[in-house]
Amino acid sequence: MSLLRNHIVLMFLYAVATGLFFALLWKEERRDRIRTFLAIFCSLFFGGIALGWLMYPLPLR
Amino acid sequence: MTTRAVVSMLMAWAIPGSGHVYLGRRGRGIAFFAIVVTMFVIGLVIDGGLYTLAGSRGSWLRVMASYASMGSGFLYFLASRIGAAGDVVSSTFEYGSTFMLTAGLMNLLLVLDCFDIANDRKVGISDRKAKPESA
Repeated sequence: MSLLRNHIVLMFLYAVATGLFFALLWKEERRDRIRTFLAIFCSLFFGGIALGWLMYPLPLR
Repeated sequence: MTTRAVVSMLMAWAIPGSGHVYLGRRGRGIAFFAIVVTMFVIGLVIDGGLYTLAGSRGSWLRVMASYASMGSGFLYFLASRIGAAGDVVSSTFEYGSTFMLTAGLMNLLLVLDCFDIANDRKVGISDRKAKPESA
C-alpha cells in the first residue's frame, strides 16, 4: 500500500494505463499498438521526469 | 442515430467497456473496463477526491471537472454514494483526483468511440482490407 504513495510509482501506473488505453483505442494492428503505447508511455513517464529536473531550480531566488 | 448506437453509448457510459462488448469487440471491452476501473480505484485508494456538482461552488473549472468525473458512469455514483471526498492533506490527494478524473474522461472517449463504431465511422484495418480500394 505504501508503494502507492510513491510519486514515481504513480507516474508509472498513470503512464502505463494511459498508453494502453490510447493504443487500444486508436490502433488496430499489434505493431502499431506497441509503437503507440511506447510513445505515450515514454512521453508521460520520462517526459515527466525530465520536466521535473528542468523545473528543479524554480522558483528562482 | 440508430438504436444500436444509442444503446451502445448508454451501456458504454454506465459500465466502462460494455458498449464495445455489445458491439462485438469483446476483448477490447474487457481491457477498457479493466483500465478505467483500475484507474478509478487507484484514485480512490490514494485519497483522491471526487469532483461533484454540489461541491463545485460556482467555479466553472470544478463544474467541468464534475462533468468529466460523471463520465465514469456507475463508478461515479458508487463513489459519491460512499462520500469519496478525498483527504486534502494527503500527499497523493492531487494524484488521486487526477486518476479519477482521467478515468471519467477516458470513459467519455469510449462513449464517442461506440458512436463511431455503431455508425460505421471507424473502420478497422481488417475491415478496410476487405473493402475494395477506391481510386
